[in-house]
Amino acid sequence: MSQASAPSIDDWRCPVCLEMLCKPVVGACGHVFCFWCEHKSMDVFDKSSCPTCRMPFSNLPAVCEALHFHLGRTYPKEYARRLRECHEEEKKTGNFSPNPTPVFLFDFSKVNELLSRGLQNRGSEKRLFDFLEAQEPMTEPDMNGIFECTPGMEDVETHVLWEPVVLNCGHAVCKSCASSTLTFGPGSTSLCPCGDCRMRVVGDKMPAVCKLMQRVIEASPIAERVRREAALREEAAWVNAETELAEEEEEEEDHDGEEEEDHDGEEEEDHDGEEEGEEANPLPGAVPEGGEADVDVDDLRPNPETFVHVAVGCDACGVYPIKGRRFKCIDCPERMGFDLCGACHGLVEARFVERGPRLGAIEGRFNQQHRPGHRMREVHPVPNFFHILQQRHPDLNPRQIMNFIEEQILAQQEGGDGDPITNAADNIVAEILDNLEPNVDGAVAAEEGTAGGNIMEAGLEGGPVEDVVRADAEAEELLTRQLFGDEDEEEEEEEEEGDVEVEYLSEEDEELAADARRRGLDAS
Amino acid sequence: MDTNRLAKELREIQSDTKSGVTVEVLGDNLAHMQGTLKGPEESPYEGGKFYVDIQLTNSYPFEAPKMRFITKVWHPNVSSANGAICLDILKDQWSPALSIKTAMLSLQALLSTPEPNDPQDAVVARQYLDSYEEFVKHAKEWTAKYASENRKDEKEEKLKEMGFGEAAVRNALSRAAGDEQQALELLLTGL
Ligand SMILES: [Zn+2]
Ligand SMILES: [Zn+2]
Ligand SMILES: [Zn+2]
Ligand SMILES: [Zn+2]
Ligand SMILES: [Zn+2]
Ligand SMILES: [Zn+2]
Repeated sequence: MSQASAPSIDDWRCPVCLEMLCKPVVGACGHVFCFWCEHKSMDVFDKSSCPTCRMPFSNLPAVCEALHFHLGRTYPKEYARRLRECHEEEKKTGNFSPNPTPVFLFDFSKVNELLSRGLQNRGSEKRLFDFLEAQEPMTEPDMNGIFECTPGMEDVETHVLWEPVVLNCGHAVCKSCASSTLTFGPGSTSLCPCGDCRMRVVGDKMPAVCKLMQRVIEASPIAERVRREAALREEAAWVNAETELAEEEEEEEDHDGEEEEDHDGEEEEDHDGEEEGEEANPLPGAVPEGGEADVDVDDLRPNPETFVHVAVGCDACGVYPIKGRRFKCIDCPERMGFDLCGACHGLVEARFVERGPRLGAIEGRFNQQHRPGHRMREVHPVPNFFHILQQRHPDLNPRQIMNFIEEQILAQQEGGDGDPITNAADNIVAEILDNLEPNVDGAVAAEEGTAGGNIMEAGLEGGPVEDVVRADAEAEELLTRQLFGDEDEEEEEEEEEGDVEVEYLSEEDEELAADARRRGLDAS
Repeated sequence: MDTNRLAKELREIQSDTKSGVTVEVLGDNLAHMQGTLKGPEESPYEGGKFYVDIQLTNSYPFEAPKMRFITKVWHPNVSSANGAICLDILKDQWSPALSIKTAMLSLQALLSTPEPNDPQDAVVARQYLDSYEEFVKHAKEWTAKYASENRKDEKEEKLKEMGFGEAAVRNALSRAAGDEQQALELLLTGL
């Protein structure tokens, strides 16, 4: 084992924005990026790949609290500056990232002070940043406070992390703890063992060790002790596994004091996942292979099991985009909306029942506060421009399709004849209709006039795309906003503040939304 | 566009004098740049200085920079007509962890190691595969004719003889990517 030196401030630079990491997320390959940099790097239509090693992945990870806290403690001034910058950006877009509670940032004697100042409440970001900025940097990492593993095994106590793998919920577990308690890949029913997280463990295989975090641990004064303890735990787990193996008469494996064999098809990541990841197994509900080259008009009729909800992610497991069934909260007021994939929907419902109204609340990827009592509606698949263009031009990638649409609009704008957006939309519709065979399902054509705004929203911003039918005027207004600046937006948002912003699915839902508004007032 | 990152990138490129790659912003528009790269040694492009037009979209760095050779290049993966480049990282293999500099360095590497099986210019690729020696000859000729640094000095001298200041001449030639006629026009119109 080579002795690593502690990461220097340059090692904490995000490979995408080249600034110090801000709200770091750790990919399944172990590479670390800012939350927003990772989000913006993701493909709105299909699997994404890691900006550094190109390993394919499907889930936007949640902020890794350990690294977030560690950066705050080690570089309070620089990190406060980054958090400020990030927050200013977020105010411009109206979409926010979570602010993991800061009470652990410094020692516990500060907890009361922090709580009394209300620093971990939403809306008090400025005070939090000021507080952070005023702190002295800590010279040693807080191993027991921050880099802790809670594997949720009866006979294993909480301990300091060794060779941490970061799960999709942002929590870290030792690689060996993960391999003895969790399963990965399609069909896995494992939940995150950390504290009260209990989110679904997702991904095609066990995540690779986060080398950056491991370097912090290896450079700490207690590294040697941590390493020894980890070796003992591993040995114990190994004995257990061997006994089970003997009983089940599994295939023989040669254990020569090496690490665990992998049940999960996980690669050994001795070089930081630097090699290309192999094409991963499809997730449950993923679009089946084949049938891509030949586009059949029948394919335009969406199959609810495989439909891709372009640019909409699940707020529990982070899968992006959602493929298959999708549920949307009609009570969460945040601009981003709160969505769940089919698999997480059931889990979140069960969680609400189990934990009740206060403890059951969950924080979305974009800091939405989704609570028991909120009502979820299934969003039925309705193909928009994007799906149709994708079908027509399987050779184009989503960004190229976005460019195509943008070009259409710019061309119209320069032409200056009539309203550019309407004309561009007409052109695209014409282009699509030209290509459609005559027997196309009428339903497809009916949606076309309304979906433009959604596409633009997806491509230009990576925000949610609503598949609901909007009035033409509304879609147009949205397009204008996305394309020609946000001047009107702030006003509008101020007006709507505190209000429940709902995408109306139908008159019935409108009633429900009005009801939600009333109840919202009652509750406050 | 992430202008913070762009500023960092440009500073980094400017401080690096070894790679044989330069990038400059043209005028006020940060999204439009011009790069130069040295023809790699032991390639038919050796001794040449190649100008590259670089345009960024609003989504940069989440979308690849658009790059095109301004200097004429005889190469299987570069259009001999318009300088369009066929290189995977400028298309679907782009990653936001790459940069303008890494893209320029990749172009330089592409000059050393053509990929005739994934051509941009079918005629050049055919020649590369069928009669490699002719290809080398042609590529060298073009390098001497269009990308020669000496030629540039000659041009510089000529323009200076016409009474323009050295700084102005250099600036104009660089903006015109070494095109003498265009540089003269720039000088005459005082742009
Ligand atoms: Zn970043
Ligand atoms: Zn990676
Ligand atoms: Zn967790
Ligand atoms: Zn552990
Ligand atoms: Zn989910
Ligand atoms: Zn909700």
